[in-house]
Amino acid sequence: MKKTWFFVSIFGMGILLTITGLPSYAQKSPKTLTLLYSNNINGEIDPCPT
Amino acid sequence: MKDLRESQKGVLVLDSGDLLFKKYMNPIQENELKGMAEKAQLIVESFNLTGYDAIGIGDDDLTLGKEFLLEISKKANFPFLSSNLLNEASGKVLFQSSLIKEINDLRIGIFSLLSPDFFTGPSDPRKKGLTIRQPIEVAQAMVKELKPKADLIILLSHLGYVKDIEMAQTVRGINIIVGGHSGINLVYPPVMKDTMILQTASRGMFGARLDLFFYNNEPIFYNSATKISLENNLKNINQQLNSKETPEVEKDQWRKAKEDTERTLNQLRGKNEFTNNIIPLQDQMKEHPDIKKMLEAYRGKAQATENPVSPK
Repeated sequence: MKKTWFFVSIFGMGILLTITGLPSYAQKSPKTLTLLYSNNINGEIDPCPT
Repeated sequence: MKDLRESQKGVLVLDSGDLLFKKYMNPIQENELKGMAEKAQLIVESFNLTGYDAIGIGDDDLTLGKEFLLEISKKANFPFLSSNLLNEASGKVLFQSSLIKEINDLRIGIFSLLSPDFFTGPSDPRKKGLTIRQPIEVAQAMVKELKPKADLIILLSHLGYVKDIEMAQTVRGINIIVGGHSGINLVYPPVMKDTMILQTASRGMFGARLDLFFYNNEPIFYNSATKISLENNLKNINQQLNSKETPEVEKDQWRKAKEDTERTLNQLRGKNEFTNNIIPLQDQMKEHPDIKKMLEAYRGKAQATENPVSPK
């Protein structure tokens, strides 16, 4: 009887893991957004020396 | 910019104003007007080719008056935004007041504000025919309007750095302020009450790039440099703890520092990150062939006007 319960539990855990997925500690790949920004170009048409 | 747009999904290109003309000096000489208008047109055309998504309006953009700015805005493939610049006669906004862009499954709401304090008084010719509404009041209304429609709200601010801080501390819901007018280089952008403030130096000296990484839907970000610095600290602390040369009495302090650093790092886990890079453009800029042609034609014309060939 104990042996049957053991196999049932293992089977149940297997089903649960299939549904929920294996636990992962790595962060998911994120959504990204790149913002290129400028201000006060003040009519310059060449990049100014820094 | 064009290369990045073509190689990468999810790029937004914005400017926060004072684009078209040099710093305003009154009076403008009559013989300068034509050259100024032509240069402004050249800038708008090159911004079209570069692929700007929107620009805010600065006080100096009004140097040739509202009619000129309205006219030149029609030649742009991107909107000129202003949420608080009104036509004095009609009381209506002169330019588009906001924009929603959908990029990488993100809805981005963009609006723009200009400070009424940068004009020399009611007689300032740049202000002719205009009413400028109080920025804080308009910002509150814009956030209320945009919030249900956007995942991220960006303000193109031409208010100056001090007012940007006040805005971040007063109006909740603006996620990013792309600042202007002060022309200061914010290499490590401050985040105040969950609002990030950006700005670069004047006159196109630098190219600025902000990368946002969304691990969750809440548009609150921390600087990746903070995490890197904490991870480096943790390495040093572990070295101290494992070293035989560290006296036992000091080890308690190192253990406490380790706990604090690990706790802070755990708090950052799963939160959204950003990196900000400000790069001198002088050596980095790759020439766009069409912009190069336009520049050569403009320079040729300008030279011919300055040194006309005298008839024989």
